[in-house]
Amino acid sequence: MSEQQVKRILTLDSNVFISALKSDEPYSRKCAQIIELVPNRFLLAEPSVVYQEVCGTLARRAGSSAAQAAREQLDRMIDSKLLSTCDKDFCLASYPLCSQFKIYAIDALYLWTAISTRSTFVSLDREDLTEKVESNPQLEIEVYHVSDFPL
Amino acid sequence: MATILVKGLPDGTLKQLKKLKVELDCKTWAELFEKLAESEGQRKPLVFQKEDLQEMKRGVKGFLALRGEVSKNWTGPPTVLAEIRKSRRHE
Repeated sequence: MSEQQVKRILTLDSNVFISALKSDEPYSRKCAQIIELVPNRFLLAEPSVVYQEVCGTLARRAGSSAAQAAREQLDRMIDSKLLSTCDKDFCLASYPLCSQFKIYAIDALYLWTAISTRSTFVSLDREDLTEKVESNPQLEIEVYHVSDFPL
Repeated sequence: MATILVKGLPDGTLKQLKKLKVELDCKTWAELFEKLAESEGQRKPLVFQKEDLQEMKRGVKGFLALRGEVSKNWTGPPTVLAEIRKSRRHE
């Protein structure tokens, strides 16, 4: 019989991944602690745009070697079964969230990933994202700002 | 115990169900449906093999090991939040 384990699912905004690597960020340590919960407590479900945001930002601010290394580790951390390709169908399913929750377009890609996989969603953006959706009774998933996430 | 007859099941779905039946170590179809129903009720947990989880663990370790390099090359402003907001909204 093969070994198997049952896990809950977590969708992290790209800002959580990047903040975990920039040690002078206000919530850097907490972001790293949340990532460290993978895979023992959670598995990651992410939209493919996370590669663009994490690697692109690192390439611009920290250099291409850091970006390339991050890409390789994202490949390992996010199982392909839980990586949502941001194609036409995915975008068409995501964009109505912009109107429903008054959030921005890219934010909606992450939120839709969390909704469609019924995962817990965590972001650093309180003002424009978590605050707008966390108390909405229409949303059936858990949403946290990094500082509120229970470790 | 109820009995159900499923008509019109696509080949692809049947193939996927057979694979799940093996992966979840179910002896009968009833056992598989019971496990799937239970999973759905528990916020959809997924089942992965030990090797998949070890690979993820290596990924987490490798990713966080980049902390030194990134922090050395990117100190002070802008914050990550400001940088991401800028890239998403062209502020």
